[in-house]
Amino acid sequence: MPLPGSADSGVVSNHATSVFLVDDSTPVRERLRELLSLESGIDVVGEADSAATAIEGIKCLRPAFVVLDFRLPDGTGLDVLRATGAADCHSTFIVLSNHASSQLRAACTAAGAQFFLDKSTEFDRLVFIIAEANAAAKGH
Amino acid sequence: MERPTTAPGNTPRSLVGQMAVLVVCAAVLGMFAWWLGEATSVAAAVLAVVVAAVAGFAALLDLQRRRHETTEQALQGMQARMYGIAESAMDPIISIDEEQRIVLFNAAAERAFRWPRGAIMGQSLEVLIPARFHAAHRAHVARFRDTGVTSRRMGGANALVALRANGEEFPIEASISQHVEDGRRILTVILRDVTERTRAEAMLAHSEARLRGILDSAMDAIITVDEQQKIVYFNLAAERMFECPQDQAIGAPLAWFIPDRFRRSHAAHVAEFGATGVSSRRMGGARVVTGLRRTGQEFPIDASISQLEVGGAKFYTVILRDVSERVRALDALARSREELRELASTVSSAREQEQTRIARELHDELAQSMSALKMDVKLMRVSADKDAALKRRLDRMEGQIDATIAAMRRIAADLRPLTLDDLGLVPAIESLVEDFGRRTGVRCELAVSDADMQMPAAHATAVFRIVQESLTNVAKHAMASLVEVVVSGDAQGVTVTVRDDGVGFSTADPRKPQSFGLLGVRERAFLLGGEARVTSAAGAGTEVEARLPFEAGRHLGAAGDEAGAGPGIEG
Repeated sequence: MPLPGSADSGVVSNHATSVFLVDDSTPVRERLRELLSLESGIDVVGEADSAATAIEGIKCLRPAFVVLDFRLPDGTGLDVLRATGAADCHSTFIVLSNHASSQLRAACTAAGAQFFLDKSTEFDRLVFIIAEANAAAKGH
Repeated sequence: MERPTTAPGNTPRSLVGQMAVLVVCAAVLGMFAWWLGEATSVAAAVLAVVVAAVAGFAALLDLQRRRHETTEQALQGMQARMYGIAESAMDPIISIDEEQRIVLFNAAAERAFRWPRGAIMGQSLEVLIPARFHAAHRAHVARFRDTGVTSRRMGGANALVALRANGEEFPIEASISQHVEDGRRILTVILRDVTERTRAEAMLAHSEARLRGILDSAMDAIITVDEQQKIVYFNLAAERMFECPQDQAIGAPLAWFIPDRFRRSHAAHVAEFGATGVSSRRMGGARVVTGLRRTGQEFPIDASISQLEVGGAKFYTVILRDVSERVRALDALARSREELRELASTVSSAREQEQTRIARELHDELAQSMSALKMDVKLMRVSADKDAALKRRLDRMEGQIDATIAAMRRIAADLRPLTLDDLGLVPAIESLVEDFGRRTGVRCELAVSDADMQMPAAHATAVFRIVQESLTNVAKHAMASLVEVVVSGDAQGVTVTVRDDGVGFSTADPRKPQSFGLLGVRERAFLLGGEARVTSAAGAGTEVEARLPFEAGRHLGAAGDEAGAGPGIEG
């Protein structure tokens, strides 16, 4: 299901860091978008609330960052990581989950995720990581 | 009695000499008379001859008398000896003449019949016989006399009855003989008081009857066979049990009562039992043996066998109980237990499903809301940068949200570890083991035979819960420094072992607090047709081992459709 933020997908600004949000919770997606908007140069190019739409959107938009929830209505973050070939993909995958265990972390890392963060306690790190990448790109 | 008329060989020498002297004397007198004169000489000669003749005759008479006296003496001696023998005999001896008058009655007879000899001599023998037997006795005696047989046993195999002077009757055994004395026929009866023997025989018969009564009143069938397995005893209960009358069963082969397919092995078992020399044992071990009624119906029996050697011949006695009812009850019990287990399995599965559902709700709904709230606080903090009071309130709010999230996660994890559903058994147990180590500070090592172990969801859940419950017990009671968890799977099933080096406990102790947790372990194993074993001793640590077979999966149907796929949800 196409979400509002994905309307102008495909047109990625050269100077903005593109981010794709995957979470089945609308309130969470809203707040993430707001948090990321506090930083300039970060552009949420698309959103998905299921594994299937996420895979489709990521393949299509090739964002710089994918913020990925683990538990999704039709699968898990692992399914998305595998289907999009996360390990060899140019996108940076950040798994953001309320379901943080070292086993899950290991599984996601093995499937190509670069970061694994606790949704309730580490979301500010998420913003920091993307902002830092954005700053590095700007400075380039 | 005959008397000898001549006894030439026995003439005493003195008599011959005497006669010779008398003849010589007469001859000398005659010669002397001849010499004296004619007239008187003839008379004198005649006189001499007469004197000589008289003297000779007298000598002859004396000889005869002497001879007679000697024979009488011998005869009297013999009679005395015979009398002495009869008198000293242990058995009563009675002689009667042809008129049945008693002519001899020895001391033993006096004692047996309590009759003094003086009073009984000359009386009829019938005095010593109860009146009701008189006629028969008389006929018997007459018949015996006519046969001319010299002796025979009286009464055949039956004991005879005699009568004492005091009117008391007593059983006797007797033989009769006959001889002729002075032309008279004498019958002699030698008899024996068999009161004691008869009493012993009666007691034996009574005891046998009582034994038979006991055996016949027994509820259990009792069958005795000889070495050829022919039935020699078959009690009433056996008649009822096998529906075969005793008279048909006696002499029949035991195989009549054993289903065809068991006959060969049964004979071998009996022979083997005979060879052991053990006096008795239960048959069939723990198994129930099958019997065969004459009607062809089979039924389960509980049997024991014993052996006895009598006079070199071996006999086997089996005691049997029809356990049809018991077997039926056991079957019903087993069915009922099976139903209960299925019910328990369903209940357990339903509980697990429900917990999974609640855990997911907590994670997917509430946790997401809390995360959103937390992000709101963060966003508010950006604009509240310069308002110290608002910042303080936001700090408080954030702390409250963090506490709520932590509580929610704990509750969800306790209800159902979602790792089990998301990642599978091994990562779920790894997480459990790590968490245990972190919470207790006890080193906990995990070994698995295969990191990608595949198994039905119900088994994965059970293994996880068994480890979880065992670790909870270790944390509560063991005071261990090292815990080892081993999970190994193969095609047949999965085995889980949790071993600690803690204080242990005596498994013989009555139910201890920790055994409630271990009871849960047993129950989980049982629900999957498996079994759990707890090995422990004071000071020697505790080992919990459970084996869950895959094939005994008759309960999988109930437990298998549990919420959440098993391992490897993603493929």
